[in-house]
Amino acid sequence: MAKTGAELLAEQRAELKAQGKTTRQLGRERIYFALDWIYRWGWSSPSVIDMTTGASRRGLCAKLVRAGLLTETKTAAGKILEDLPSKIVTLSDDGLAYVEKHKQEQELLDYPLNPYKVNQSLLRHDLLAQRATIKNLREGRIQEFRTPRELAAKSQPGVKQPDVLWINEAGRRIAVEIELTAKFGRKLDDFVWSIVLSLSQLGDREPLFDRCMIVTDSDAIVRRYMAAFKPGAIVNRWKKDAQSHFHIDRKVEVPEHIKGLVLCKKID
Amino acid sequence: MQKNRLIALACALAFSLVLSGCGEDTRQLQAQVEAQQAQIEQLQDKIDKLKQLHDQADRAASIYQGCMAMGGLFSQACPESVMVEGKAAIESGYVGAGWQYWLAYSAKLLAVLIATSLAVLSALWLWLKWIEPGAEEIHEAKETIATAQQKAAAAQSEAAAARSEKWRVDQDIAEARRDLAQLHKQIDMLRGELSELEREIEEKKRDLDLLGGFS
Repeated sequence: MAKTGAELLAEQRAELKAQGKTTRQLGRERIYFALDWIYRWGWSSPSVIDMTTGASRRGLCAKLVRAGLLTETKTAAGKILEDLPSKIVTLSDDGLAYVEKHKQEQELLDYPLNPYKVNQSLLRHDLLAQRATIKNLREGRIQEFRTPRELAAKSQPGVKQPDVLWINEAGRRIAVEIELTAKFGRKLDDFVWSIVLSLSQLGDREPLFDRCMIVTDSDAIVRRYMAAFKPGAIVNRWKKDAQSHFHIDRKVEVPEHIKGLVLCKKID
Repeated sequence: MQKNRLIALACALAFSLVLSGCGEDTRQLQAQVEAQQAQIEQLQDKIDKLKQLHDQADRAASIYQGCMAMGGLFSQACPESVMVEGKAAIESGYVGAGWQYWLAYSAKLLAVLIATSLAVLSALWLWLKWIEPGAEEIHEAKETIATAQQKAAAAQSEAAAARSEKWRVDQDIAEARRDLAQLHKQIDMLRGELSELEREIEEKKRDLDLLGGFS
């Protein structure tokens, strides 16, 4: 049985009372969370921004666009493919200024204000990561997350950057890779080996992730990656020669300790 | 004593007559003396007889008293003639305290002692006889002893075997305890591994729950 507006209002008032916050404070927090979300991911979709406020609230994204804090841009494939957004939103100058006003120096990112620099070919891929992240965050399955932009700002050469890094209540770090297209040859080898290195302790360096979750919508990709990450599986290490041609330098095996640390799952 | 006095009196009379010097008279007197001597001898014999009777009565009284000592115990053992004579002597006024009394008393005491000793010895002999086992009993006892010795030897052997068995069992128990301790260690280790596996499973489950974000 659906709750009435009065009941929802009463619930929200009770929640605010329990948190010791006013309605105005809560509204400001929701606006900042939505803007910060876009700042961290680079862009988002109106539906994801509305999800950040909770399932019962709609229209926040439109409100922020009207307020001039967000810029709305139509996508190339919008309305053609069902799982692609027709519009994306990015921060405007005012929106960026509002977010950066509340950021610490080490949290600042180089934000691209030009919405056309957003890679349209990765919209579905990135949106899957954003939707899963906000859903897990709202349902309490994770406590914190790191976007590719945040990870790239602190990454080291040769280290795998996942599509999103989730951190749960116990502090476990789960790297998520969304693979909607299969990798082959050198790209697959580099992908496998970079994840193996990220899950391994190298000298004094602790593993970067506690587990890696590869998510795909293809059974074939699941089988292919499960075989690739099986302990003992051969991985080719490639090297560029003087003519900038890659050739196999050596062959290595997936180590035993990787067993169980890489999960390959198919999603619908 | 009396006899000696009479002899001394006759001798003194004869001597006085000799000294007076009368021949006829002397012979007459000699005859009187001889008559007197004969009379004296007769009297002396009589005295001796009486003395003998006196001594006999005294002995009989002593023996009688000795026989009648200790309340007349064993008085039947004394000759009846002696007892009759002794009793008569006592009744005649004899005290009966001569050495015969002690002889009879001692004999009687000896007889009592001998009788008592014989009775005690007899009783002892009878008792020994009564408690003395018969040959069959001795045989049975020997067999019993032999059997007991065999049983004792068997028991000792069994005890030795039991001690050996106990030692072996103790060793087994000690070994079993060591095994148990080892098993406890293994159980603890397995529990630790199980706990670790459960933790890993729980972590994996929680990680898999994250896939719910993609649904």
